[in-house]
Amino acid sequence: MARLAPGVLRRYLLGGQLPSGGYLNRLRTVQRLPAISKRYHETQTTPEVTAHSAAIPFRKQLKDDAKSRKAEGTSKIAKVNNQTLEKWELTVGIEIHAQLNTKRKLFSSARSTIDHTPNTQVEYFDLALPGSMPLFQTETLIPALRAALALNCNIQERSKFDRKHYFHWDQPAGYQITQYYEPFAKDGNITLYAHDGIAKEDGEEIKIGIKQVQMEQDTAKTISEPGDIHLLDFNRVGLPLIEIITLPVIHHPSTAAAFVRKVQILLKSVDACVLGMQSGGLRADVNVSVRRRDAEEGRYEYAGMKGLGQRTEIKNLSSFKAVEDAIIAERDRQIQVLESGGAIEGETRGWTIGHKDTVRLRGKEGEVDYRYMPDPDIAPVIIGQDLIGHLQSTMGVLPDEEIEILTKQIGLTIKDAMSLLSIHEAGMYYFFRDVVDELMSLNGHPRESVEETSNSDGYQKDLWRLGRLAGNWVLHEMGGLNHPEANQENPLDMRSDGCCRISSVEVAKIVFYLDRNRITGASAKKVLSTLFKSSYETAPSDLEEAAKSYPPASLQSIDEIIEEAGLWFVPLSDDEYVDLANSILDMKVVEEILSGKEGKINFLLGKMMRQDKSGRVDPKKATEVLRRVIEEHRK
Amino acid sequence: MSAWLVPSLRFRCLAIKDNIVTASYPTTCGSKLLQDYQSPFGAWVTPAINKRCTVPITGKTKLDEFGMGSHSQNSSSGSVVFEFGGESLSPGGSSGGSALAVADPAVPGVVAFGTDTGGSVRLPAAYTGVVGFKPSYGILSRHGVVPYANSLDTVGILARNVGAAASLLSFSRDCDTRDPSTLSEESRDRAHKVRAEARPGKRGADQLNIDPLSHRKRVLRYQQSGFSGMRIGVPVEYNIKELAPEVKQAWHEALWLLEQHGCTIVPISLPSTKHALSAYYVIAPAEASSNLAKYDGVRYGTRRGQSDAIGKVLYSHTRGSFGEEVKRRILLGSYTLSSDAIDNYFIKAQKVRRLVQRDFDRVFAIPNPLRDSTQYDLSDMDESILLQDKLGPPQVEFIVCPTTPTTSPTLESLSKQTPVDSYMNDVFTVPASLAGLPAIGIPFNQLANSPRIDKPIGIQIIGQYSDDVQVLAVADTLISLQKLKSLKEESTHEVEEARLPVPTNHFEGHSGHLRVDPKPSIRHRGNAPRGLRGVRYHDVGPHHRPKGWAKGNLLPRVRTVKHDYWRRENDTYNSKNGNRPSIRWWKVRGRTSPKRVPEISTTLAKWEDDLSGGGSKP
Repeated sequence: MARLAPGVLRRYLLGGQLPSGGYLNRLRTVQRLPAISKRYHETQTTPEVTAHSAAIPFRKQLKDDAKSRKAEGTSKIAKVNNQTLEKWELTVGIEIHAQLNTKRKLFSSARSTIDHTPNTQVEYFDLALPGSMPLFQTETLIPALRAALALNCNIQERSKFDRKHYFHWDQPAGYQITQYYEPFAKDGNITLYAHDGIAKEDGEEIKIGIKQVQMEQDTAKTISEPGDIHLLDFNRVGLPLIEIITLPVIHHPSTAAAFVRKVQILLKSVDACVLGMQSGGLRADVNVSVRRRDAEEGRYEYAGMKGLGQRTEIKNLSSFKAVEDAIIAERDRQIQVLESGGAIEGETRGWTIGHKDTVRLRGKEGEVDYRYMPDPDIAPVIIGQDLIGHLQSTMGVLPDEEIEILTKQIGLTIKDAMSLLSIHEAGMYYFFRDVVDELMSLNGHPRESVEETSNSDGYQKDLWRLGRLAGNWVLHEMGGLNHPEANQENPLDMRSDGCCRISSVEVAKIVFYLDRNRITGASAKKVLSTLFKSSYETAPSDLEEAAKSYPPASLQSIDEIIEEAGLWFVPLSDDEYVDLANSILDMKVVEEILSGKEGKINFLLGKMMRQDKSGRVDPKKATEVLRRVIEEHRK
Repeated sequence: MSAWLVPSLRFRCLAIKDNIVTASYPTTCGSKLLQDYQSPFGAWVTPAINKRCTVPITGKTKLDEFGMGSHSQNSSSGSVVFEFGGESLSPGGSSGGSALAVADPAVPGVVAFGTDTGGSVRLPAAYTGVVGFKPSYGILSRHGVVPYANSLDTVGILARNVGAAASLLSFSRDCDTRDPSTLSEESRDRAHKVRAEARPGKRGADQLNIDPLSHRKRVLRYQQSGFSGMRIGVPVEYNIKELAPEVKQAWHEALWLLEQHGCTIVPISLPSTKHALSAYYVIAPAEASSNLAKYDGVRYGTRRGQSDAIGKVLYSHTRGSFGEEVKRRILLGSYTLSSDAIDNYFIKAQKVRRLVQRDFDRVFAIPNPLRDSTQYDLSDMDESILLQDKLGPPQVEFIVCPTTPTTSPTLESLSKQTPVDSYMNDVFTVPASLAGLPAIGIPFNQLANSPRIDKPIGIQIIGQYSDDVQVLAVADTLISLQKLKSLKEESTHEVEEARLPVPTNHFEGHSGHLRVDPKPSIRHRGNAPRGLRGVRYHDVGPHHRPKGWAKGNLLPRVRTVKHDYWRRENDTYNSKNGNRPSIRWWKVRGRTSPKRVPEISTTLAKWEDDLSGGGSKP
């Protein structure tokens, strides 16, 4: 886990495009390469059917909804700014449940797989057989701690497990083991930026406080069949989850959705969990309350935030859009109730995709008292500073840091960063980083001493200049290469780990010579294309073979190519410049220039550049010479 | 054949309380909800799992449903009755079936596993006159014990004599990785070091060995050289108003005996005791309500084809088949855990539990190996605590007190009691459970050579955490001292040589590695008889076998026992007219002699004075 998995980052930058097929695709490619970190979960094949939703096919439901909307005459919901309201302030708190990427269940040594034959990966304790006892699997702490560190939490030295009691068929023990009184991580926060898709009203960035992160058990999977039959798969019961609870500090629906999306990305980037929302690995509950902006403060207090209105909870939201839409619907419902003189009841509500309203699930009187009790069988968990330190040091770079490096230190635009990450499964991005590293070491900042030098001014300046240059070359010049024999989709045969037909060392050398004015831009292009063409003549067809002898041995080194073609940049002598200038001089233009139309000089300059076939003309010098020659004509 | 296996001949068969799962028998917990439940695995303590023990399981014994009760009357498989002197008495609970199986004179050689949550082993032991041992919490694995209150549950041992209990403990004490609450080997070693430091000399050094041989040696040493300066604590708070005179008498006798053999009797104060019972009846039902949540008819319990929502509340139909006492405790526990009440009940009770533990730690001379040693500031202490000197209150090695305030009540009187009245029986047993300490209940008047046909009375010895072996040794010695005393009374203090009374061991002659000589000579040296000095033991060797036992057939065939303390398969509920065992007093002498009131020594007299001045009320 040196640095972020780029696929994740790419999707993160591209916002709405969240992993589905593409993500699985990446998993497949990852398997071929030496795995950086183990993935224990495999994909979940059966879509989750929650207990609350009736067994109506999803497509049919959407169709029916569309029909009913048409019948009502509101075929399109007006796209207005739904994020903020003048009179009312919305407050949202979110709870996210995420499945951890672990090998075993939380309290039994049964394997934590999801696509095994139902009810095969089950230990006695998972079924709560009388007399069976929980055995805390310490390894499950590791992804949980990574997640908590990614969310900037304080890891508690001592945490405990509690029992949360409620009856449901998917809960064999009659209680869920969770961390209520002493969670393992507290007081975290994550920062959301404009590019995360937060509401405009929240400005450039907003910090969302996280109250706590706790570990808990998953429940059994219910598969509903027609005829009121529910099948239970206890493979899932007891899988480790983390629950992330925010402070009620979110005031805009799209910020809430951005938060959930960002949490998913963060958790994946630190390898804490592998399944996204769409495959049921992540579920969100939201707490919604509203209050009048002008009236006195509300009477309620949640997690230390005072003056809020009565809140309701919407459970089991399984997509980012659902989070946003459910919040909007619930906010509007609450406002409507309040404006018509009613009062909001503390209740639990549900939301189904495609619906306009939230549905009441159970009211206050049916509210479950979970009767939290410390579990008497499970000893407190003591987490040492050494473990935290180790995980922190091996966790690598988080997406926001990565973007900061690309934009603030290397000087790419967000758009370029996005392009780098989106081409060839982010292979371009890896390639780019290799080029930059190589360039820096050619410029006297060897990789080995980056630790000491990275803060120096010279390093920063070089990184900025060379980074931008390399970005331009990798993205635009290399992107434009093509060959008749090449795969038109991917002429470079760029792999997702950043290996392609051209070695990054060679590209770095080209950019280095260009930066040092040893070759001109035009010659650099020539060298690059020669290199690319020769790879089709000489490179082994099997790229893996090539990777073994990295950097791939091409017949000619860069220096030889340049030497052979005589492309070393030899500046033109003054006389040559004068000759060249005279040869393209157009008297008509000269007169215009002399009469004050200074801009026309660029026309001559262009002519001069075109005239030069070897590309040795330095525009600055040429302009100087042109001026001198024209001045001579004034006499 | 290792020396390990030989002492297992101390018992022939093992009865297991029906809330400990066995792979060979169904496990019902005395509940309708589990009436057909067959566990796929056996508990750690069962011989099949625990390879050290080779004794066959004879059957499962009745209990109060899920271990909740003090009289073994709350069970779907019928109540247990202790027939004694023409009366129907309570056998005590909740391990009443196990206790009767052990006590039944018709079936000798039975030892039993029970569970002790708040006295469920010691109480029936006291009522039926057998030995009931509750080890320190975490010594015996609870894996396979259907939990009632996890933080209090311990597997307990019932036996006719302490030696058998010690053997059974030695077989099953191994650290079990399947129970997260068992003490790890490292912790056991550490506890041993703490004890060895606090108790220098030989007594400290041999404490790691829990095997029956070491036990015998320890008892022998005490018998031969007395207790030499051991300090025994007598908690003044235990002298409650409800204490029956005969129990008080037995208590006095026990203390007198100990003092005669070198102990110093010290009055001590455990001020939190008066709240311990209330705390117990908050904590235990709370944990019970949680543990029993799984019996909702989805996996356990019988559903009768209707919807779960029939009735007033969800699952009311299925969960309605719990017994009255269980329902009462679930309700109580659910209430004390509810968000409005938890602070006032559950949290407070946990604090009281801490205070109870602190009380014990302050009183014991040996530090608690599980906790850092604490300085107890005199100003923090309850005013009622008696100070030994200006340095603070006295410290003792063991606490000796009655097991129960009264002897076994008749079933008739029970029917008039409220549930709360029956909770009162646990008042002396609950504190040790809350603190997780080892405690043994021994029969104290049974073998007295008097015309008494009194109901059994239990005396309890409580030691510091992990001091199990010493508790067993002291208990065993105390029993033998009492035997000797009654023997001497019989011989009017003048006979030089006498026969020992019937040994507590029912396998006379084939008790195992060491054997009591049936005709020892007792020689008095000096003025006072110090222990069983002069009683000779001789080694019968490892290959000793009882007569008639074929070679290679170490385990005798056990006839099937059909008494109604056994839980029977296909039992019809409430089979009170079943083949009830008639437990007779097995040694009733025809001679009459006046009850001997023991001489109260000066210390004891002082203690009496203290009590009459400031004895606490419950």
